[in-house]
Amino acid sequence: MAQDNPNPAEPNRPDDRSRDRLDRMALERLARCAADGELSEADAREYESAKALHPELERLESSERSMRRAVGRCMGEVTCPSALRARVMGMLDREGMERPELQPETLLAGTGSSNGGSAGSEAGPLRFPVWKRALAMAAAVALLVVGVVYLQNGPGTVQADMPTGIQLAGYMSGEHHRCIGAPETLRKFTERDLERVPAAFRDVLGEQVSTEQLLLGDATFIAAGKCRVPGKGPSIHLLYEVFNSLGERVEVSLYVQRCKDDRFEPGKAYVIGDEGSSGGHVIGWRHGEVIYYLVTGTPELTRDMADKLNAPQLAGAF
Amino acid sequence: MDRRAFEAMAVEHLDAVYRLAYHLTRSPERAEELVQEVYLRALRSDTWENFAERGGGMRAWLFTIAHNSFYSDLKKEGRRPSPVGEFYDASDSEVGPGEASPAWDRASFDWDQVDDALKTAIEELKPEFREILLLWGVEGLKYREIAEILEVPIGTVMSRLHRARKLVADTLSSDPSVLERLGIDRLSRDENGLAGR
Repeated sequence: MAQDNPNPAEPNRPDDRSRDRLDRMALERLARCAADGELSEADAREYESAKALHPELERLESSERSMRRAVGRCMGEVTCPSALRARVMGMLDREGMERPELQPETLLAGTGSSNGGSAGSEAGPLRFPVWKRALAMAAAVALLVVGVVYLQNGPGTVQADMPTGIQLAGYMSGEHHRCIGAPETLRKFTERDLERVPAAFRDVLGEQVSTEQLLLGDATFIAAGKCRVPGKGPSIHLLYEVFNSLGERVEVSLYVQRCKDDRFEPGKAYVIGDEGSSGGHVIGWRHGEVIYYLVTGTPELTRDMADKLNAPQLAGAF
Repeated sequence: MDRRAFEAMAVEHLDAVYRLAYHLTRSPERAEELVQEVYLRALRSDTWENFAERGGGMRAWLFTIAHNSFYSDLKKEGRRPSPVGEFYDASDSEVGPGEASPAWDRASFDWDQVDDALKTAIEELKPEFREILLLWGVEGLKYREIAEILEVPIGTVMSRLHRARKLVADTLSSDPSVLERLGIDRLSRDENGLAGR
């Protein structure tokens, strides 16, 4: 282990210095691994013994942890621009439409046709007998159920998974702009009759939300479908159109998410994200376990629409 | 997994993939190109099928594609980076009699006061070092997970990470403005040996 030379006038012998350096390197490595939570059981025992001899190791370990947090702060503030998000999502949709062989229904159809498949068939799914496919399907359903239960009741605090305002605004703005171009071509919109929306998305809206509560004044409902608002909890996207004071047609997006975290105080509405990520066009608020987000092209219209939905008063930014 | 579920999972990691792309390329435009390339590759049926076989989670899989795409693009452009030193340089930890080891010396550093200088120091690193710092510091990955993404042994991850940390710390501790901000006088610091010895 590293020792002070008791007599500075008489330098350590080269062998001692070399051993001292190696010991130091080994201790530093242990401190780094400890800070990173990467010590094996044997290394942890060795490290504990070393700390008894070198209490300063504690400080080194703490410093390594601080450095990791600082690196996280400095490199972690970059987020995907909303325009790129919209491009990627649009690209995924186009890819799916242009490649019917990747559509789930096509894959299922291919599997179905294999029932009477000949022994010489070359398609992958045709090689599997019916009982194996049934077993695979049952396993997939079981996994899906486990996944849904996990997502809804998963470990850890919900707070730890809470998205930031910038993430929320980036997603909402990007998705809004992606969808307003040609909503009729998007697979995500599975419901085009507002009357049927509460029943179709009961898992998100719950039992309390009625069709009337989803009316946005004079706005015309276009379509609704499942989406992936950041954070835990299922979500849907409802798209409307309305004519503004200049007689121009503009789109309005309403996102609804069932969510148990405490991102918003009940009875208050918030502007989501900063100027850069949303331009103040996104407003969110909570009613019980349901969170609503409104997105339009202007902050004024968003506030006007929020009033029509009986949203609480704006209380600040999120 | 059907394709829509796969897509939804992939899109959840857009921020993380863009962050990696941004720190690898150091250019918003090139980062955007890289991200689009990653998602295009991810959706190809052959890679899509590999995902299920490979395991390790969607984020790690997208990172692997981003890593491979970035370095294969560099190779195509004939700008293959010079390999980074993967193992300890003797001079890294050479300690003379009565001297503090550099890492022990760093223990007195206040990492909460140097964000601006730290950003600059990280930007000056080679992409291999920026990449590993990101995977470690921002994404919170374990050494084993980083090794799988970079397709290198764990020992290489540890030594590369050590080098990256040391380069950053050396840059900061040789920056007079940083020392001044921390109220550390370099000369007295050296003389007094604030290394905890």
